[in-house]
Amino acid sequence: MAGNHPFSLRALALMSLFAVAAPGPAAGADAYRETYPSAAIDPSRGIAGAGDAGFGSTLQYWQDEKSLEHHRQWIGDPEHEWKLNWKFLDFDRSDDMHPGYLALEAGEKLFKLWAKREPAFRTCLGEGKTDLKGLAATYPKYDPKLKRIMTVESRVEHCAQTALWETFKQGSPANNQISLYFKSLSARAPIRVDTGSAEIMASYRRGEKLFYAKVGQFNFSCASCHTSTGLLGQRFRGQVPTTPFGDAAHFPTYRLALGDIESLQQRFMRCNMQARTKALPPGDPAYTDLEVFYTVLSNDYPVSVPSAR
Amino acid sequence: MAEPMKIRAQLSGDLVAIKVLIGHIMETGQRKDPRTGQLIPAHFIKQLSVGLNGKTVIAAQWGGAISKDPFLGLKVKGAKAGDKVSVHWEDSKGEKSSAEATVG
Repeated sequence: MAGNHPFSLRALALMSLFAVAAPGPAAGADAYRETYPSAAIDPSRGIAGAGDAGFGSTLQYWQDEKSLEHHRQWIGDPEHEWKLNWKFLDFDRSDDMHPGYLALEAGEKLFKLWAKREPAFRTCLGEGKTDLKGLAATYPKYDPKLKRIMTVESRVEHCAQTALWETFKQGSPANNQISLYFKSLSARAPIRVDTGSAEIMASYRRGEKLFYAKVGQFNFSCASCHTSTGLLGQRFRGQVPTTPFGDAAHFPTYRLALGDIESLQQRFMRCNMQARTKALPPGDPAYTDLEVFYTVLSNDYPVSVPSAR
Repeated sequence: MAEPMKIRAQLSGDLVAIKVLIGHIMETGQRKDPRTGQLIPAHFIKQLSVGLNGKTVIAAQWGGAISKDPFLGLKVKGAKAGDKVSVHWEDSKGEKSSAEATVG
């Protein structure tokens, strides 16, 4: 029988290897993917980076305290409420009561417990500094020592691993609570992602590509809903999509619908699932790129943690 | 273990606006654990009362339909600065919690 012959077996094995390997490059990076027409966004201008007037047209209503106060009568009005970009739910400024504070308290308790047990955890989070105030506003940033881009969540995961020998996986309650506490120490500090860094800008460009790439069963991209040529400002699933500007400022946030904290990357997962796309795990490089893109679009907007959505 | 409550009592004229935020899981007892297929046991606040200077102003009987981390807001007439607002609840497992705040 031909199958018993050692040579033909090897040939078969080689052929099957080739068959597996051959479509590799074609199905990988260069696969055909539809993209959404891109909008002109200037990353160096942060929240004001919308190129065409229509894209960032709601900025004037929520960019600072005064404009929010001026349009306070829109709250509860379904026609106009979305124009405030839900920024009136950033309670950190109005000293209100909301469950985000319960999450913050839990995070503070957890962090203090671990920092007391192992002081290296604090210095690891602060990259040598013991005062963590204002540090989270510069995330995501490139870490030259680790040679990768760190988000607040991945920093907490890394520090828990190295300083505590504990696994606080990204997206886990412990990671979310500590991240929320760490970010709340930068509340009201303007977001300053370093757009001068080559690594951050490379990541921004990759994230920008993902923002416009159509994926999943519905063939939706982020831009399909969150740009003015898409559904921005129109009703969709009983809600009105808002601009992507300033959105990263309030994460991790307490989601009233979940009764729990949700990080930005978990929000991406939920978004992907609702658009019938296979979601990636939190901390995936693609989500990190998307987080860099979103956070650069929030540059100059103050961190608003804790908040509730 | 019951988490602490947050109470705020703000006076305007003789009307006091009381806000209470309670950290509680409020499990209905009708959800199933997706992994085991077993029902998650009910655990929700059954009785809640708010008092002003020891006199009950609201006594509520709650059930599993109240959301997680409930927020309660009410306004009471005839209060003055320095009055004591007290909130007390008891849940379906018999756990109790009470907290106090001063009107100001």
